[in-house]
Amino acid sequence: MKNNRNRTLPHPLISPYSTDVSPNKFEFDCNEKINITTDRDSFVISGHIRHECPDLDAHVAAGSAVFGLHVECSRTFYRAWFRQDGPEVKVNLPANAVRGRVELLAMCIANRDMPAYSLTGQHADYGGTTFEISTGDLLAVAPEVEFNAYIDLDPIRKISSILDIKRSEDRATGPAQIDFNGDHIEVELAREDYQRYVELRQVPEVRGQLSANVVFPAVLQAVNHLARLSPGELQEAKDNRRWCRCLAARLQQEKTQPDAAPEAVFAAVQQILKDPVRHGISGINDLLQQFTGGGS
Amino acid sequence: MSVRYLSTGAHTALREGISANQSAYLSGQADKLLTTLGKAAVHVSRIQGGEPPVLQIPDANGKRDSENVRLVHAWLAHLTPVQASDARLWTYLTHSVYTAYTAARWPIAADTEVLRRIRERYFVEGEGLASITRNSIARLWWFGHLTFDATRPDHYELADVLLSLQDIQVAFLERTIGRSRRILHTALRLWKHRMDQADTPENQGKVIQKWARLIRLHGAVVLLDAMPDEDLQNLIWVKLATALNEELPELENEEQL
Repeated sequence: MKNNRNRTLPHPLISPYSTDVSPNKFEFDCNEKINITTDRDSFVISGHIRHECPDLDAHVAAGSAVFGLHVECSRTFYRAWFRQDGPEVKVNLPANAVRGRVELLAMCIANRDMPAYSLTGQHADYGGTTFEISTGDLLAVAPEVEFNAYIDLDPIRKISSILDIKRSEDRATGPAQIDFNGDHIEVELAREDYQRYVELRQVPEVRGQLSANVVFPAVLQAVNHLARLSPGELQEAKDNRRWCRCLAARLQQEKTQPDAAPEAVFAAVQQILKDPVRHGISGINDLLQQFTGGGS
Repeated sequence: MSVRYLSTGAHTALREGISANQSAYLSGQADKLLTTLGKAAVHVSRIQGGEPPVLQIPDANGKRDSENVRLVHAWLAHLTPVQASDARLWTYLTHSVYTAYTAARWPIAADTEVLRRIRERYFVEGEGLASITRNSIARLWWFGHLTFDATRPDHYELADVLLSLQDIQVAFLERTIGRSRRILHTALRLWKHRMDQADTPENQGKVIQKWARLIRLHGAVVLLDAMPDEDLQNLIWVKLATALNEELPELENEEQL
């Protein structure tokens, strides 16, 4: 449902697009970057409905009207109405129900039939007319607010999609380096190492060992990086860097916070990477068996 | 057994290769395209499912959508809507285990709009409601998901109503009212109720289109989602009477529908 133009209803509607009622302010104060966050299982939407109509508050206080948030997501056929106790909005949206663009429409609707509804400030053309209102009738609608439900919370995406292994432009040899400042965790290998890495990853038996040697320490260090951030910095990092959002969400799925005990983080990262140490050892064993003809 | 899906690279390669690979689609051999992309083209997801069911191939007795909705939805019963909105999953299935089914259910004649039909039935194009319900396998799962009603003896009974007429799918699923499970289920129940009681109306496609339009127009004044069940049902029934231009008897209680 959208609200981006004037609507003509059989009764006065409070909306910034309508002159039915003055003042016509009715807005949902909700900033995607600040007011929409994620926890383990949901998008948490908070905001405030702002208007300047005392009659509306009186109707809500009397129980004849109610504020709420209408949520729709076209990609997942999701549509729901979240009734609120007042103008403060707090909605937990299931993370597995929405993806891509999500439309939020704050409203005030009739909570019961009202045989003689009128508002102070309704347009002069209405005079002193009263209106028969039925349960569910729209009384006020805010312009829609949209947000993008992060597609990188997609649980079928591999963790390696947030990690890039790249070739150094200026170092032929030397230690691996890591950079946490982009959308991906970037591991930079010296040119000689990168060339070997590219060749080795073609060998199935070695992939586990490569993961244990390169990916596992990088992700462990990334968690360590998250653990050092203040709550505000962590939120900013999640807002601006895809790997932060994705890794934080995966840690939460493992019921582990970035600043958890090192032993717990060590176990959680292995879980996320599907046992890189075990697969690394197993791969070496397979390789040795090939060379020794089966005895190991 | 974990459900498989295409890597992003393989998905892109197939989409970009539609024109060049037309003959494979026209000859029902889209699965051959996947083998040329190598093992890295297919990923294993975290989604658990058994062996993919063998789907009923359309024959002289019908299109077999009803049976196949049940098979696909039961197989992937634990899929979440977010996972089910991922084009890579459905594109993998139409290019692997369900290539033969897709070719049989949605044959493409060489003299039609070949590229568009390949995109529609083998891929998921765009992000709208229409796109996901055109892929040959995604539509089966989504029809099952959207109509599944655990309170009915046959959980998929409403899927049969949805499948009974293309106009119902277009009028409800390609509009925002179809996103509301309550509105969709109520409308399907009432349509079945009307069909069980009386003859099929002439021009039923037009009746359904008008009915859905009347519901949408009412939804511009009233938040349908906030209406009590009984009021919503009565409203949709009255709108059906208007669309049919008939006097319909008052509804009995919901349990009997």
